[in-house]
Amino acid sequence: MQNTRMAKKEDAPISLFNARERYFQIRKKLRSYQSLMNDIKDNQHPGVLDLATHLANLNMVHAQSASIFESGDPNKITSKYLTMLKNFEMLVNEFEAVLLEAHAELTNVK
Amino acid sequence: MSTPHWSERARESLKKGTEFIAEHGTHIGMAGGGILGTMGAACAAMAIGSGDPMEATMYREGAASLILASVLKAGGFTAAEQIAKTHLKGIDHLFEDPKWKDSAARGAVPVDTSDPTQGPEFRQALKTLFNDLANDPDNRAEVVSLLRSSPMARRALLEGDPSAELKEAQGIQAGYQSGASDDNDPDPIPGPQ
Repeated sequence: MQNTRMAKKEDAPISLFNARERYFQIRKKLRSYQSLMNDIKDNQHPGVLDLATHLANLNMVHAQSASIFESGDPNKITSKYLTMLKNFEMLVNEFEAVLLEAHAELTNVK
Repeated sequence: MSTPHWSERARESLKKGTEFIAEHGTHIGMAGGGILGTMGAACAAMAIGSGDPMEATMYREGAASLILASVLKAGGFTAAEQIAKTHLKGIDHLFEDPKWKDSAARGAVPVDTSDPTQGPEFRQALKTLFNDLANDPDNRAEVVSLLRSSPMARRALLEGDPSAELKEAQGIQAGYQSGASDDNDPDPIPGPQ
């Protein structure tokens, strides 16, 4: 309920067949957060530090799993990795919702 | 029913992210020190934002800052520098690094997946951080559950031999991949575009 963007078609379940594409979708999202973080980087609110730490962690996980998903070699992608990617996508979506709200409040955008 | 304020949800998300790394970090080939570093950073951030100003100040000015700042710096976004400088003390020198400066001037810094805590002073800082956290009831449970779920991180904390962990991480990752692989791949997954 809190997350209306989840309601859009957003996506068939992650499978062997769309894993690579979804991995790249997540990359795009993660990159798009740069400018939002830039807008709130001077703010003293301690929540900004939480958001930044979380984003650093998400970026690291994403970069670290490049060798698994980038090649698109299905032999590399085990069910463990699919579960991982699914959970990771959920984390990123949740982060996005929180970041957007923080951004709206801290930049006073109505 | 109302949704909690974003700052509460940011805190919750940060915890979930750290748990995720504890659970999956090894599978994707993060070395124990890397896992430990990211966990440490998360715990430090939570401690700095905690309700007790004395505690928060201690973490902001201590070993926790060094760990947290180095993870932020490795995190692949340029705003990290300003955020680190706003919330942490004694870390400005980390961003004097010419490589960081060049990339930041171009507006894009790479994610650095090498162990963010390499080097003896960082190892020491990690130990100090975890010792401090052990006396901090609000954060202790987090640390314990995180360390429990990652044996490699635990070992890194105790033994602190980055090269041994790295080998172990690579071995584990290779094991996961070879489980389902036999080299000749007939049917690559179509990528975007």
